[in-house]
Amino acid sequence: MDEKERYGVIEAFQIWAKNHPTPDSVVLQLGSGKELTPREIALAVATGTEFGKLQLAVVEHAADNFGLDDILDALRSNAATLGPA
Amino acid sequence: MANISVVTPGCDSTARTMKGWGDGVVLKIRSSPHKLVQQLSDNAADRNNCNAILKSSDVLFFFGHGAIDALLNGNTQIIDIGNIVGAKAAVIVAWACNSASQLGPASVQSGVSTYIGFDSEFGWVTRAGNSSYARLTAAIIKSFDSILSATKLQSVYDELLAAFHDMVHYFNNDPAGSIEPDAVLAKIWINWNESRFRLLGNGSTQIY
Repeated sequence: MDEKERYGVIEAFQIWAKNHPTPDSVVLQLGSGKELTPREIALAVATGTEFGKLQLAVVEHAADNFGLDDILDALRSNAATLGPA
Repeated sequence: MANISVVTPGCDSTARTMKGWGDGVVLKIRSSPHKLVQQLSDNAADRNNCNAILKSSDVLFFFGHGAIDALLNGNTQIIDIGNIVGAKAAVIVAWACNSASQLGPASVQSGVSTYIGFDSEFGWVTRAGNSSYARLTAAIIKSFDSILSATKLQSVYDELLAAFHDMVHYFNNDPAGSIEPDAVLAKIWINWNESRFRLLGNGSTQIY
């Protein structure tokens, strides 16, 4: 993933978190014990924490199967159409 | 009839979620021809007790946190190569992060026939209204039936991969999240889980 693509992922997660109806409620659990809210996921991706790097790898792997643009579009539009939690 | 033990540390919120899967396999074992040697939970899931069950069990199910070289209760290594060497257990199924990276291969090298687990973190979406966790749970519970009815472990593993694959495509058909919230997050994480799930060792192993 090049710098432009990485920036696109960061931006898409920020839009997703900003528009999320429950940005501070846990939305993702990991088997390692981590629990993350949308706001925490977006911040981790933007700041390159250990989890942020993992989340980028998850997106990169999915992009190989589904295309990066489709995933980022889905993140942005998912945020736009989310109903109440 | 196999002697089976289940370790469910339940040391934090996520581990308690995973303990629910462990409770599920305990119920299945009790209604099967197999013998439940022990379920170790909470403080009882310590290294000494794990030493004992590894020596007395043919099969070990673990549901909790993992590192690349160990299965954990909190930050404490309760199962690692130190107590797997010389163990009776021929099959280890670890619903835990990372352990198929180093512990799995080391276990197989030291005599464990089959090790099933993840070689990275795995995750699931917990948002209300998203069926990711329920679908994952259904696949895991279904795998218990297959394991306990002498299905070859390669087939069980393939069934789980197929279930992951079906989940990915279910969420892929809902790209805008109009049916389920955060469908895209569920899709990419299950796609990741599918790619990091491993069967190490002998896929022909069956539990009789």
